[in-house]
Amino acid sequence: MECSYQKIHEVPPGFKPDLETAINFYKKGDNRERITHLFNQAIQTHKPYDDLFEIITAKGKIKWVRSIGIPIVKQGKCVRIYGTFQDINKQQVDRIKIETLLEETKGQNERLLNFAHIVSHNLHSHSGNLTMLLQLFRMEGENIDNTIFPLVEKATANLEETVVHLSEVVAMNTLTQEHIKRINLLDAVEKALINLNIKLKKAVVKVQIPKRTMVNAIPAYLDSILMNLLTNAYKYRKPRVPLEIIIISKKIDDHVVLNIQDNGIGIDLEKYGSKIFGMYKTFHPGKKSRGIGLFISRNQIETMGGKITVNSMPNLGSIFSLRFKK
Amino acid sequence: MKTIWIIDDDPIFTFIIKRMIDLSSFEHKIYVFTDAELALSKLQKLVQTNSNEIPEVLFLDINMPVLDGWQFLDELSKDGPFPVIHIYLVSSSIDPIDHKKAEEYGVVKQLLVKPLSVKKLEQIKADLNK
Repeated sequence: MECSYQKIHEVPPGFKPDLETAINFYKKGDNRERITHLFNQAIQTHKPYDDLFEIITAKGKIKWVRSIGIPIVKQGKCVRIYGTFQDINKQQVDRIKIETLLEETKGQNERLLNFAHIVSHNLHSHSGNLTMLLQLFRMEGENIDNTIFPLVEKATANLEETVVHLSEVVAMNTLTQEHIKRINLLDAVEKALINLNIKLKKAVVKVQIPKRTMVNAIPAYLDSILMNLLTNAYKYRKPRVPLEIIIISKKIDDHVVLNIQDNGIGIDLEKYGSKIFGMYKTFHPGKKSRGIGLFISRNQIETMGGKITVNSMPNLGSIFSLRFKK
Repeated sequence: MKTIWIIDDDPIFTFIIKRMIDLSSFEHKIYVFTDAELALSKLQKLVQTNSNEIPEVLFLDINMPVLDGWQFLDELSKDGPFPVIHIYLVSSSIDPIDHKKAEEYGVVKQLLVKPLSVKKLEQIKADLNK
């Protein structure tokens, strides 16, 4: 202990501080006041102390230490304080660094979100105006029989679409944990199937979800994810083969996993595995994919504290697994 | 003559919606306000005197400087029973929070997301006569 005291306080060997010197190593102000108070308390009420302080070493360095004091009591009187020190400078400095970084990141995130809101809103206003002006131009019988006008229309439509995607991504970040509710999974799946009634008319859909399965989810997100996955199953069905969809839920520990399995054209995961949930990633030419659906689904499920994974084989079909908190 | 009021601070949009209404089967007289406060005080006066000049349809932008769409509705509802107006909020926002809020305001018929179309306006016209 002597040795560590020397090392921590950077004093020469054999250095024996008296009480005043010992106290004076503590940084002036809050640190010194705190140790004085704790020390006196230990003497008077025999209460041990254990706290973190900043000291200034003999060489003038500021250091974080953990200082522990145990009163030695003989016949009801405190005869001395048995003290130990621990150098926690590195941990403490790291902790403070991390905290500062976290604060900064939080602020940056807020500003970024704010910025994204403004950008998406303003962009949307402008692109919306353009879309409407072109519509008017066409309706009012202006001369549009040239090569440029249709291209302007197409470019504007593309712009509008991109801005809508951007806004969807931004809007996603506005719903948070507070919006999470307990939802009956079977009800949600049945609702989605009803909404897709026309498309899935000829499909064989099997649903195996216990009636009372509840999950923690944001209702709008759950609806959107289910619609997206089921629409994908329909969109990427095999030609001339009746579409089959199997929807099964199971409880695993404190999670509910929902598997949506289809017999569609599948995806080559070896080739595209890491990209399937990325933005603007499409894998089936000619399918009018926007490459946004799975990106949004992934963000939505992750916002709800869940996960989405996929298993797929080309020509055999895909299984999308959603993991929810129970 | 029945009237439609458009309250929106974006002059390009007010031009567009006015033109679209012209191209649709509405036979209303159109008033455009780019200043929401001015529109509010005018409307409050009409409501107080129960004037027959109270608009039948109101297109109200949500995002406006000084007085936004929500505040406009709040101010209007302070003066006792809400006048009978078909109120359509107009926004370029697809923010789910706006949509939820619009549902909470019972007086709002619908939240319309820009871009609008003549077709959409015809639907609104058809709904008026229901």
